[in-house]
Amino acid sequence: MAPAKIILLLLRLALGGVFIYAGAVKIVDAPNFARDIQHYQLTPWFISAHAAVYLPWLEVFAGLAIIIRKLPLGAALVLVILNVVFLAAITSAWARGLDISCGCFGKEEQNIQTHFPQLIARDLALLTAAITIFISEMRFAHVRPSALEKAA
Amino acid sequence: MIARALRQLALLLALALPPAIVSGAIQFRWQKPETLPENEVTLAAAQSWGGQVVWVDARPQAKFEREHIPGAVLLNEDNWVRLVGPFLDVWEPGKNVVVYCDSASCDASHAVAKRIKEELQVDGPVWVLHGGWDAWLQRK
Repeated sequence: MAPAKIILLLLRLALGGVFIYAGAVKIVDAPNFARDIQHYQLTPWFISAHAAVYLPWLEVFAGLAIIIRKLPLGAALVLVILNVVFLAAITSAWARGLDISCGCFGKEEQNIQTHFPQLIARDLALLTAAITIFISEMRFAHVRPSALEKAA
Repeated sequence: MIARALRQLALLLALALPPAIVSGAIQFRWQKPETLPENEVTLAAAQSWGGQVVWVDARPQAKFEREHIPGAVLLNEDNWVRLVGPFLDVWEPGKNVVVYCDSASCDASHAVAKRIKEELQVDGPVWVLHGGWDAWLQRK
C-alpha cells in the first residue's frame, strides 16, 4: 500500500473514531448537550434541544460512513461542515468572553476550565483532516466511477 | 461530482433523522404537568412580576460568576455571612424574593429560602423557582 494511502486510511480511522465517540457520548445525554449548546447563547431553547438530539446521530453516521467508505463524499462533507460550525461557535464564544464548557464530548469535561486556543487548535486539526479526506475522495470518485454510475 | 457529494450529504442527513426522532422522544418526552409545591413559583409567573422580584442565586459562586439570571444577587450557604449584606441592599419590603439553584433536584434554593424567611425575617413572600437554573436555560 502506498504511503499516501496509509496516511489517508489512518486519517479516516482517526477522524471517524473521534466523531463516533463524540456522537455516542452525547446521544445518551441529549438534555445535557442541549444545555451546553444553550450556554453558547446563539440559539433559542427550541433549536438547541433539536440540535442536541440530531447532531450527535449525524456525527455517528458520518463517522461510520467515513471509516467504511460508504457515501464517502457526503460523509466528508458533513464532517467539514460540522467542524466549520463548531469552529465558528467556539470562536464566537471566545470573542464574547463566555466561560463555557464546549460540550464537544459530553459531560466528562464539564468541570474543566475551557481553554479556547486548545479547542480551536483541535477543531482546526479535525477540519484539516476532513478537508484532506474530502479532496482525496473527490479525486478517487473522479478516477473510479461507482458501479451505479457505470451502469447508467 | 459536487452534485454527487450533495446527494450523499442529503442521504446522510436523512439517515440520522429516524434514530434522532426516537432518542429525542425518549429523552425529551412530555412530562405530565405536576402540581407545584406551595412555596414554589414557575419562571413564567415570577417573570410576570417584573421589577417586583429579587432574584437570589443559591448556587456556588463559580457558577454565579459564569452565568446568572440578570439582576440576581448571590446568596448561598457557603458564604452566608458575607453575602447577606449585598442581598439586603437590594431587597425592599413587599418585593417577591425568588431563590434558585441548579435544577428541580437541588436543595440549596429551599435551604436558602428557609434561612431568608427565618433568620432575616424579611417582610414579604419568599419563593423557590420551580426547576431552578435549568428552567431559566430552557425558557422559551
